[in-house]
Amino acid sequence: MIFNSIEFAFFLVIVFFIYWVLLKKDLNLQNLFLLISSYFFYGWWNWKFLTLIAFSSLTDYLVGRQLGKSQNQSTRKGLLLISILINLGLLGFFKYYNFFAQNFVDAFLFFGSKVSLSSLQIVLPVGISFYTFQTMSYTIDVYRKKINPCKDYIAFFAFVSFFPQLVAGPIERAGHLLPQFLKARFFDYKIAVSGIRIILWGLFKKMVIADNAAMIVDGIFNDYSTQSPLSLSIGILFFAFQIYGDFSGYSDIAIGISRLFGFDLMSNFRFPYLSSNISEFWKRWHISLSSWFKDYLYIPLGGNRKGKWFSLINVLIVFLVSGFWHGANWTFIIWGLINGLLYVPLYISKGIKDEEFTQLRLTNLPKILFTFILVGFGWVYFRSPSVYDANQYLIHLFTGSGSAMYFSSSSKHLLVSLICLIGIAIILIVEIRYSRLKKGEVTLSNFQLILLSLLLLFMAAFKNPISFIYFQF
Amino acid sequence: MMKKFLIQLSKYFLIIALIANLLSLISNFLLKRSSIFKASFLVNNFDPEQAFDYFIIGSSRGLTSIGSEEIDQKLTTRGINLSQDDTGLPSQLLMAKHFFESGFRASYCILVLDEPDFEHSSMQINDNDYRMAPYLQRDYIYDYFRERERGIIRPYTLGKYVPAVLYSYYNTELFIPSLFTLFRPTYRHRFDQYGNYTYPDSQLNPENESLKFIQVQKKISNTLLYEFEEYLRTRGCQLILYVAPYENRELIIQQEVKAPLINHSSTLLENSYFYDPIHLNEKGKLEASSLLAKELQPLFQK
Repeated sequence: MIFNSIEFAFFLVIVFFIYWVLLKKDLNLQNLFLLISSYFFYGWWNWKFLTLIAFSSLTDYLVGRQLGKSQNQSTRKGLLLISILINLGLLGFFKYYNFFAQNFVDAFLFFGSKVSLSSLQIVLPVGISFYTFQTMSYTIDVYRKKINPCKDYIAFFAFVSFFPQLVAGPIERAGHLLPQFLKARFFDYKIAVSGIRIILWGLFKKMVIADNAAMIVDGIFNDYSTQSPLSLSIGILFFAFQIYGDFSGYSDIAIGISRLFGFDLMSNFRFPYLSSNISEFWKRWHISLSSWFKDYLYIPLGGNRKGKWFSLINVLIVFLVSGFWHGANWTFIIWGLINGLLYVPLYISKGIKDEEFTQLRLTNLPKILFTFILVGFGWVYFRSPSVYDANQYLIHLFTGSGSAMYFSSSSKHLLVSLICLIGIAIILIVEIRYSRLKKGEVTLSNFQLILLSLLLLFMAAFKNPISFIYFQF
Repeated sequence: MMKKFLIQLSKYFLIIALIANLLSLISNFLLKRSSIFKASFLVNNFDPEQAFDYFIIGSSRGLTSIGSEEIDQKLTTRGINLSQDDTGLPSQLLMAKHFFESGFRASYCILVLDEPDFEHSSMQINDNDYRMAPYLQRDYIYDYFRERERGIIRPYTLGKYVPAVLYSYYNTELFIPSLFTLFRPTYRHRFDQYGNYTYPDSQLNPENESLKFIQVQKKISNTLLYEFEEYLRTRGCQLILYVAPYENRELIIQQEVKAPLINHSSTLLENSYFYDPIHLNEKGKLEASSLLAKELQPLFQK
């Protein structure tokens, strides 16, 4: 059940009415209903994995309670270790077992020894990386005594499985989201309207830009060896906006739906393609993950407390782990490494101050374009099935051996490409404007919303509804 | 608060639905007055008072294997090619109905039958059936879609009453092309003024080689053909079945349907006639049309 499906529309309407009409006076019943709805939402995809999310929630609930009771430091450390081992163990098994097994075998083969280690037919549970990180952040924060352990198990289970952000974030911190489950929620007209607005904006990004771009991107990446440099460049441009439209669109819809239920989620994107350097980009792209790694990996590793070179290593570790978090493939690791290496010069120079919002000027336009191009090259590794394919893609881009133009190979492809370009232009115009206004959230006027809805209706790829890319992570 | 929210939501929903339906009706109007698809091309470019001698119906093989222009030159007849690529026999019967229901007449219908339709036809909607959608208000077209649509979203079935559903779902197929016809109403999408289309020479087989054919036993027994034949009979039109050339297949056909059959599956003996294994290029089309005209002459004289 994806956000842009008819099934989800029915689900949302039913849940919304029961939540606000029948249960509005009872917080516990509201939470219980959200928990049931969230499990139903998740179970729609594969009910068997509900046990996994329930087990993960139960582990951290119990560990959290014990952490609250214990003052003994070694006991507390042990409890934290249990939680981390269980959570990362599940994540590691489901997401990384085959990767490690294969690389283990390959490594031995490289040195002339044959090792037999069979790979398993493991189905990756949707959103496991997201809810695992969310529930881990709770335990770590309780351990650090930043928050108190949650006594209300229904509220806690609902916090872990909250359906708007369960499968692709934003990865919420317990300190921000969990208290919202514990206090009475009242329907707020203005918040609900802002929710609808941001949902529409998210749907536009997902269905008009990402889903249309996917058709062209798939065609180009699947047959890159015959494509011309122009076509390969368009492949990178469209994938950059496909993944942005897909993921930021999802985040916007998640934030909007949460508002309909009286919840406030953190912002996950802030106009990343207007960044004038890589450092800025990573402060604006997938903010909830970047800040998670900063708080729970970079700082525990020592952060910048042990000197410049030590912190540089920490930065590279964070980028590598971040890449690996995305998927069990060397392509993601290389992607993380590329971004880390691009970040290094900025980190060493420290001369550039990152801006929260970009004021587009002629002077910073080349920097923005240069940053976009660098990010785009990184996306080639992110999108390609293997490092070899990514390298070949870039070689073909620069050597120009192909002549095919997938994006204009038929009237249909040309039309879809045109829609993508119009969508990209709209997104850039809107983001430049809001960036100038120093507003992190796009809040369109009534007239603009009607226009956006019509554009959505007549430009969206309704026949090509693609699951959100980040579901696989 | 909730009441106000729902009222506002309903208000905006109605405004958007109203504008979307209005735009869809305009889109429908533009497509119906254009020549972009065969259905409207027929209605807008020909006079029903002037009867055709024949019309050609088929898929991409019907569209590109035979040229009505070449046949007309040889037989001094008047024909039109109403074939559409990516269609099956049910869509072709629908096009035949559209021909007659639009007031046109013809003595013969040359049905270019494809192998997948020899014994039975899929009940699914074909990829290019949307080209008939501008005439969804007509019962025979609506019934065609209604009988075939499955699933929760049924754009054709709903589209008769709420055009926005159809035109938004098929936005790249219908809505955006309709905007294009606003500027070029006479544009035809991949066919000429007679409804024919020609593929270029194949880039795969530059060398001219003699072909080797594999003999394949086939039976034509599709029950839909009886319906097709009967429908045409009530309109005073005779069905002629035609099997267009293949690059490497010789079909030995056992026929259960009474309509005359012209089997040219293995008549073109060189690969220079072909664009790909099932489609002809211009040279192939001229040759196939010439051979077909010879076969049609005695049939037309009857």
